[in-house]
Amino acid sequence: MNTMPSGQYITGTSMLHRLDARGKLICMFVLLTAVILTSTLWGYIFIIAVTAALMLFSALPAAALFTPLRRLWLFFTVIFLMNALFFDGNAPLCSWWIFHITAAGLSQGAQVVLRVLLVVLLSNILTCTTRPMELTGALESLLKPLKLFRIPVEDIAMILSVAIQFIPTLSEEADMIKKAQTARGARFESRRLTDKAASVAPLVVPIFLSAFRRADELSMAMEARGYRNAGSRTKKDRHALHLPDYLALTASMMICAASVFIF
Amino acid sequence: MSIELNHISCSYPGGAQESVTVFDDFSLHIADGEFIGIMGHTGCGKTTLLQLMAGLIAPSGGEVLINGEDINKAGYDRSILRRSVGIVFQYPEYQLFETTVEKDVAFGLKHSGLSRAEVRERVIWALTLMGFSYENIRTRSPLTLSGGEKRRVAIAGVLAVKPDILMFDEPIAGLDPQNRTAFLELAAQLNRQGTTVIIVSHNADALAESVCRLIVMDRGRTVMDGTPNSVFADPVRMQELHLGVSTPRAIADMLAKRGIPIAPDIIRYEELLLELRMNLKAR
Repeated sequence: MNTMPSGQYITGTSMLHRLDARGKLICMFVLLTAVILTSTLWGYIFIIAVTAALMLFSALPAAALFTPLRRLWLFFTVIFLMNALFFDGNAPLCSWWIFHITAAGLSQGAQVVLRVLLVVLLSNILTCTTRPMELTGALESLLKPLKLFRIPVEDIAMILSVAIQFIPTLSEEADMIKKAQTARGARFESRRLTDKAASVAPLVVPIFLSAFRRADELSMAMEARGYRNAGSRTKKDRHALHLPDYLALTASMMICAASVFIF
Repeated sequence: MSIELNHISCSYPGGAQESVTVFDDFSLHIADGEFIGIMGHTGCGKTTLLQLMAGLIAPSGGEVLINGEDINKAGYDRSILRRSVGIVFQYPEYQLFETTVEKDVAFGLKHSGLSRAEVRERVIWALTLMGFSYENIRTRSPLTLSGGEKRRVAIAGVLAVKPDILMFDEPIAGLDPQNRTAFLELAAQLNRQGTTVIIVSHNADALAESVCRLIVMDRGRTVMDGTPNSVFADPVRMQELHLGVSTPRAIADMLAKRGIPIAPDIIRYEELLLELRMNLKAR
């Protein structure tokens, strides 16, 4: 495997790793709200400081958090330019044809980029410090009220957790298939468009087939072990929220309130 | 074609986690036309070694020479490599994707510059070699075949390119006895015709019966390298490496413990029988 998928759980014992997943999930949504509602310079500085502090607390290697951002550079550039060039405002700094660069446009572009950046960073901190299983478990318990509306929350959670579990397996298999086809002469490395188009089927068809095969096998294995979607399932681990979880929740609410009302 | 690995180092990047070093200053020379078996505990780097030799991954240090040419050098024509090195992975049946068997087997010949008639000839040759009747199977979808047939079709797809070097990663795992014998015969036949054949396997019996040179690896190093007879002559060492010796060798050791001396380089049933017959005569 040449490229490690980013945002993947990294084993650790930091404060953030030990917090309950449900609490963390709510904290993240609260902080994301703060990111979206802030609109002043000091507000942004405050949230950047909070994010930086969280990174420190998480004790994660910086590379794990920042690599996903590098892949988004094109997206950031486009967003910034769209805002900077097409934002309607008075008193353009300079104009050319249909483009008007205004101070408001520049600031708007910078803000949007900064927000997306912070959202990606924060969600990365969450997924890097929380096991996927814990995360889906948390999602399941937080979505439980939806059962009132006859939404099969448990099934959805099961589907999610199975899907997440199979990502490493499938990506490993995809890597093997890619190597096998390369050895047979498929030209994945080629930059020519015809080669690129021709190399889709040798990769996609086997990966699809293997995903279906695995799904088949898994469903049989689950049935053989007595899985039924009827009735409510019990959990192997039951955790109560502890003091640190409540503290984290309170802190994030306060951060959100501060960024909206104070700054 | 010869293969030369000089002072290879190779590690898998672990992303944010620590990277795993597979090879550190590893060297191996394989002469043209050799028939080689590679054994080793799971995770010792066998598959990585095959991928390095096939140019599917690049080493972080050192050089891989195929026929004297550095395959990782800038400007090296990779299409030569693809035509001269064939590799059959552990589950080759998963690489099938075309709508018909014929198309799938011909996939590797797409950029070979061969005429349609020549491609067809190659496909017939490869499918026949793998025990198929070309006319019966050519239009079938690979997906409708049985597991064993799929595997044979996939191997035919690699053979059709007629590579000078053929590598197999665990080719006999999961095969029934008849198919196993057929496969080993095929490998021996290709080797006699001049192909350099490399087989990675845990199956000591199969390797004892077929290969001429056996390499035993442990944690990214070559720990034993010689004829299968000389390698299996040291069952204690093999045990330490969590590997077995061939069944005839194991039987010979049991007999030796019961006072029937048998030479330590006996590893095949034929040899064992011969030795026992000599022993009987001597009495």
